[in-house]
Formats: sequence, structure tokens, C-alpha cells
Amino acid sequence: MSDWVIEARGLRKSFKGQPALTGLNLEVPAGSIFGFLGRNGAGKTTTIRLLMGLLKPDCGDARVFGLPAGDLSAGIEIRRRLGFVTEDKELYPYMTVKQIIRFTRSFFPKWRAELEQRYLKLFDLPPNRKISDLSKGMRSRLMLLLAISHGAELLILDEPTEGLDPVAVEDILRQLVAISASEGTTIFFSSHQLEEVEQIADRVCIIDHGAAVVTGSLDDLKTQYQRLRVVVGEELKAPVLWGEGVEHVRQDGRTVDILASRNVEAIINQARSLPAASVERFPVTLKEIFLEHVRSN
Amino acid sequence: MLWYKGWLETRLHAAFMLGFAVFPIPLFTLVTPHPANPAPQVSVAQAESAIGFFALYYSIVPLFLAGSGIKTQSAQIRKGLHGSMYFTLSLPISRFRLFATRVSLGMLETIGILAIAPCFLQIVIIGPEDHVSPSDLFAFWVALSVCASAFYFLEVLLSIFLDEPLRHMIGMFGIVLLYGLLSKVPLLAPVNIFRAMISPLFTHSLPWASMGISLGVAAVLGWAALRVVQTREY
Repeated sequence: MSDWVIEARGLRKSFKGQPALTGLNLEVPAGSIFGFLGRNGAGKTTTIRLLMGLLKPDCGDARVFGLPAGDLSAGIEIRRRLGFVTEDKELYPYMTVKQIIRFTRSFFPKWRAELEQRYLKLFDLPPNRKISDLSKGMRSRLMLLLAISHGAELLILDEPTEGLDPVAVEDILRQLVAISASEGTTIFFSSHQLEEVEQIADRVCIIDHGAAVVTGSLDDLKTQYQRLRVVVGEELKAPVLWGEGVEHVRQDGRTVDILASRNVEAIINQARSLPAASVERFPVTLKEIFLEHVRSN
Repeated sequence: MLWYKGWLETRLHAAFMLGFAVFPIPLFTLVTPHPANPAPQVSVAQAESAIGFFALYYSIVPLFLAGSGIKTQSAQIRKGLHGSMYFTLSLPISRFRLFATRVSLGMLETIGILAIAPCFLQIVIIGPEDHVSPSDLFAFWVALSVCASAFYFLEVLLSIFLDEPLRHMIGMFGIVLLYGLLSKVPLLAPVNIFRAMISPLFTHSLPWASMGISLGVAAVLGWAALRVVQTREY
């Protein structure tokens, strides 16, 4: 059996001739908190719908728990093992919190009543209140409760903190980390809120124009990526042909800013070979990595 | 629990249609000469005409219930009309089960509400002393329900394609009216579904051929709708 909970190879999908995914490769390891980043319209929701079996890829293969995501009968098994929090957080407005818990419970034989009770209390959800009377933050928490309580091995969260106030965002993020730690649940969440992803994710994938542009462990990325500031003695007359690993170069007078994704030492040595050059290195944030790739793409 | 959810979603429509079905009873009690009353006896032709009209009137019930039911089924079936669709589709249930539950519920609601039609006829038009027996009225209800199933599944199919509830309801009314007009053409008399609906009151037997054709049409339309739902992307 594969170590990946989610695996996608060369996923392509177009809508009326407009490409949404252009050969996406994705690997989400078991037990990870995986941040799926991208601008609006980058292809995040399309990917999630493909993984849920709601869309069929034009080509490529998507597997969840090793099962083909687009297969009707495999889809039922996949959905039995995962919890999904939708982007709009819409539930049945005519049901109460208690009713929707009872409704959802009926489809999951391994429903965990103790988790239901714990999160009902923790999320401060009033059982008899109608869903139409709940705030978006409360609906987010309720969806999370429904997803967790059936013992999901994988949570797929589409913009889980979208439209929430900072307190609610903090609350949800804290709970996600706690769920992953206590239950070993894999969490795959899409977002364009980079600070949130940086706060809780251990792996990330940045998607742009329907393809992954950066993927890997967040710690590794932060180690690999460095910003170098090179100050030369006199303004460079001709552009320098930098070695491998340079993602972006910006020159302003005698100062050259370099974003390097690998071979940092070699690039530093190359910079030092320039006349009267001094080199400083800085750590980069996820935001910088994201912006560099998305802008250059 | 899917039945329970379906009932919660369609109960208002069902209640509205119940009102729609009951509405003509007091109205026609006032204006129609009842055989039990000292008013002039209703002729067979008059009765047939009135009953035919009510067959048409009650054929609206399955249209509306299928329409409203499937519209709220859009929670499972179609994008955009109901935001909770993705939550429903994330549950470990087959699309067949979602579809079958909702369609069955709508059909049961339809059959239940159509039971008012024979009661109505008994009270208002035919009267207790007429020659129509309770078994004829029961047969009328069966024929009405079975023949209406073709309309019901036509509406199910239409409602999957047409997003605007008003647009597809207008479309359905148009089809029924067109069908009603075409059925006046002598050549098409053998397939007059409205005549088949009321025929047990006059022939004292069930219109097996028409019922068979209606069920066949309903099955084809239902199968087509299911195929669309199973293969559709959301």
C-alpha cells in the first residue's frame, strides 16, 4: 500500500476550453498537515472536487487512500473515510445542530459519540439552534465536528477559515493541530492565507495556473530557500549569468537581490567573485516563496 | 435519514399541493348540481367532461411535487441552487440512492395527494347514489397515479436540466396543455392519457394498456434522469 493518502499524477481539467488544471502532481503523506496554496482561480477547488469524485479529470489519475477518486463505488469508500469542509460552509438550513448530527451519524457506523460530545462542548454549539441561525464561524465549527466525529482518517478542508474573524480563525487552526496530533488525522487544506498555512502546515504545495510550482516540507523549503543580498563595488555593466538554483534576481544600482532555492553556497561563492562584493543571506518566509513563484509564473 | 431529510425539504410543497388538491371541493360543492340535491341530474357527458377537467387539474400535482422535490433534490443533483449540495455529495452514499430516495418520496407524496381526487368526485360530482362504486373510485385513483407517473418523471428529467424553477414549471404546464389539446385529435384518441385516467369510472376496469405505456414512459424518463445524475460533474 502507498504511503500517500492522496496521490495525483498529471491531472488535467478544462472547463469550456479554459484550463483549470494543467498536469498537477500531488502527494500527501499520511498524518501530515498539508497546506494547498494558490491564488483565487489557481485550481485549488477544482483539485478538491476531483479528489472528492465530483469531477472527472480530462487526463491523469487521482487516488485517495490508494483508491481511484473518480470511481463511483470506490468513491463511497473514500467518502466513508474522509471528512470534508466545504468552501461556503453551507449545511441544511432547516435542520437544527442536533438534527444534522443525527442525520450525519446515520451514514457512519463508526461514529464516535465521545468526539461528538467533546467538540460540541468545545465549539460551544447550541444543539437546538437552527443552522440558518448560526454564524459562518459556527457553521465552520459544526462542519468540522461532523467531519471529525465519524473518525475521518483524512480531512479535506476547502478554505476552512474563509470569512471568519481572527478569533475564530485562531480557534479553528488550534483545533486542527490538536486533531492531527491526537487522532493522527491527515489534514489537507486549501488556503490563500499564507500566515495560517505557515502557522500549522508541515508540508505545502503551491499551485499556480493549474500546476504545482513548489511542493515539499515547509522546514525543507525554508532551509533551501534563501534570500541573498549582494552589494558590489560598482554597478554591473552586464547581467551576471547566475548558476542553478536562482529563482529570481532583482538589481537596484549596486545592490543585487537574489532568491535562491538550492545551491546557495555555490551562488554565494559566485557572488563573492564579483568585484568588491559583500554577500548577506536572509531566511525567507512562505509568503516570499509564494509571491516569487506566483509572480514569475 | 435521507427520507427524513427529503420530507423536511418537501413538506411545504406537499402541504401547498394538498391545499391545491382540496381547494376545488368547497368551490364546486357550491356551483355544481349534485345528484343528491334536488338540482337537475348531471348527464354522463357533463360528468365525463367535468371529471376529465379534474384529471387535467390533478395532473398538476405530480408536476409540482416532482418539480419542487427535485428542485430541492438539487441539493444533491445540481450546482448553484443549494449550497449544501457539496455536503450531501461528501456523504458515503451513492448518487443512485440519493436520486431514488427523493424520486420515491415525491412519487409517494403525489400518490397520497391524488387520493383526494376520487374522494372529491365522490363528494361533489358523482354522489353517493350514483352507479360508481368505491372499487371504481379506487381504480380511478390507481389509474390516475400510474398515468401521472409519466408526467412525474418527465418533470424529474426536465428539472435536472432547467435551473430556473419557474422556467421548467412553465415548460411542464405547456407540455401538459399541448398534450391535452393533441389528445382531442381523433387519431390520437387511443393514447389520450387523461381519458385513461378517468376511464375506470365509466368502464369499471383499469386501463391496463395506457397504464403500461405510462409506466414504460416513466421508466425510460427515470432511467435517463438517473444516467444524467450519475455521470454529471459538480
